[in-house]
Formats: sequence, structure tokens, C-alpha cells
Amino acid sequence: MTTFFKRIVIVFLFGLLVGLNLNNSSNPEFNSDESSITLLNSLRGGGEKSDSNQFSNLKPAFVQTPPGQRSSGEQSINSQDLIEMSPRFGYRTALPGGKKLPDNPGGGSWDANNQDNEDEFAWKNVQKNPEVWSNYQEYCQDQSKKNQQCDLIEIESKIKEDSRLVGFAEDAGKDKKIQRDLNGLTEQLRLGNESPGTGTKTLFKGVKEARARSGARVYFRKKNGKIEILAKSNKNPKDQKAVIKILRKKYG
Amino acid sequence: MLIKKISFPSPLKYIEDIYDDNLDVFVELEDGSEYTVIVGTPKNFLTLMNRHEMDFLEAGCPFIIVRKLTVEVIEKAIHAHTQDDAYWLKLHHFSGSIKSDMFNKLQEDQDKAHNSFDID
Repeated sequence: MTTFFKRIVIVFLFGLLVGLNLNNSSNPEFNSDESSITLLNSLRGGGEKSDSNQFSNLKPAFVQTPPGQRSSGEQSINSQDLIEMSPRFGYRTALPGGKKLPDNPGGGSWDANNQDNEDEFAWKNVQKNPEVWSNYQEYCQDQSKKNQQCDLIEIESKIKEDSRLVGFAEDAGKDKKIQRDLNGLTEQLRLGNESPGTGTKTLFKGVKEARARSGARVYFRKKNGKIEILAKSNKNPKDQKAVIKILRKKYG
Repeated sequence: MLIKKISFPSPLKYIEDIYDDNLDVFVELEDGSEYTVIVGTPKNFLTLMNRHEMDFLEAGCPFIIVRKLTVEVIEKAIHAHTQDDAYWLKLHHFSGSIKSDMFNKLQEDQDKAHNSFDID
């Protein structure tokens, strides 16, 4: 009889252990490394490990979540939090061309080796957290220097819609210095820098002009979360005036 | 040379700080020639260096430097640059378009002038 009770107790304890283990496995906070927990806490806007200096020394980490599944860390962020993104980059909702945000569970490099995660939750949180977003921008700047593409903002060129604008862009590009700076300005816009070169100027109703000292001019506007490149030119007044006149008719 | 017209591709009303900005200015002279110059303030140079995290301004077309970006001040500055057949205005405008050959020629001329003194 005693043996029978012992067996029952053992089975009960075993079941209890199994149950606890399953519970912990379903909660990434208990199944992640320290960096991931730090990120989760920081995304929650609190937690014990909120030391920004400590965090800034770490590469940002993402919590990898299976597609369609929300972790307990995510549940702590309500829908309002998801809407309130960084004002500067808040319009960005997805990577262009169906590309995914580089997953980075547990910190380390930002290299996008693992792109199986369909969930864009992490991307939104990257934008939402200024420190993480800043780190991602730095990473992209580094990638850019290595001639590796790292998109922060989706760019769409509308120049081809008007043959006259194509002509002005081609004409500007004949000068190598200007062509280099036209590319540089566009790249900076892609990286989220809306005031590259010598600064951006508003021409009219949402249409802006990014400028470089070589004379490169890139005309753009923000629409539907993207940056539309409307035209490119040099700083020749006749070209600039003509381009602005065309843009005013098309988009003014 | 007389100025026929000064205009701005970006309206001045969009300038947030007239002491800290730069802008393009279109200048049309009485002979019909047109130029674009960049007019900026000293404070803006520091802003640009800070923004680009650099200790110097990147190389490029020079700025016409003014204390503040008002129509009156800009007009005075442009007027000063149109003296002597608008030499400096033209230099500002064409500074990015001068071919290296031109510098080689100037260098040769300078060397010739120097050698003609025959100091040794």
C-alpha cells in the first residue's frame, strides 16, 4: 500500500515538473538569453534593466516569435503602443519588396541571416524604441558604407512617369560629381535621413528638395509611408526652374 | 552688372531660423544670364558639421555668407557679388563645373610667371 502511495506521489511530482517546464517554454522571457529579456523590458517601457548605458553597449536583440504567435512580452504592449511609433519614422510599416526585418534573437550581429520570421511585430518595436532604432540606423549606415543595401524607408521613383523629368535627371547625371551626389542623397533618404547634404527645402505642398553642394538636387515627397522620388536635376537655374514648374503642375 | 531679378525656389516663409539655414537663390542679370548661388549663415556651417558629425564642411560649391537670411541682406550680398562683371557670382555658380584642365592651365601660367623672374 505504501509503495502504491509512493508511486502516486512520484507520478504527481513528475507531472508537476513537466507542467512547469511546459509553462516556462511557452514564455520566451524564461527561455531567452539576458539580452532578449532586456529588450523585452525596455520595449515594455520599464523593467529592472532599464540602464540605457548598459543597453547601448549591447547590440539590439529581437525576440524571435513563430509566425502568427504572440509571446507574453508582446502582450504587454497594447494596440495603442503599436500605433504610436516614432514621429520621424512612424510612417514606415514594412520593408520594401517583401523583405523582412533582420531577426536577431539574443543579440549579436544585425546580419539578416535568419529571415524566416513573417511577423513584423519586431520591426514595429524597433521603430518604437528610439535606442533600438538608433542602433539599427547605425547598422544601416555601416552597411551602406560597405555598399550593402539596408532599407529603412521604401523609395519609389516617379521620374519615369514624365519623359521631361527623365531628361533632366539624365542631364544632371552626366556630371560624375553630381551623379555621385544624386545617388548619395537618395541613399540618405532611404536610410531615413530626410535632410541630407546641405539640407532639405520645401518647395510647395509637401514636395521637398534635397540638395548637395556639388549642385545635385533630388525632389521628393512622402506618401503612403514611402518616399517618392519625383525628379532629379543639377542646380542650373533653367533646369531647376523647369523641373519645379513641371512638379508644381503634376503635384501642386 | 545690374541685377534684373532675384528669386527663391523655396519660399523664404519656410525658413525656421533666419540665422541658421542656407538656401538656393536664383539670380538673373540684365544681360539675361542666370545663376544659382547658395546663401548661408555662419551658424548653419556649425549646424551642418554637427549634423554630419564632422569637424569641417564637406568640399563643394562655396556659400555666399550672410548674417541672416532676409530678402534685404541677401540682395545686398548678391549685389556685392555682381561687381567686376559679376566675377564672384559667376565663380560661385560655375565652381562645380570648372574642368581640371582649367586648373592645369592656371598652374602652368603660374609656373611660367614664377620662372620668368629667374631668382637663382
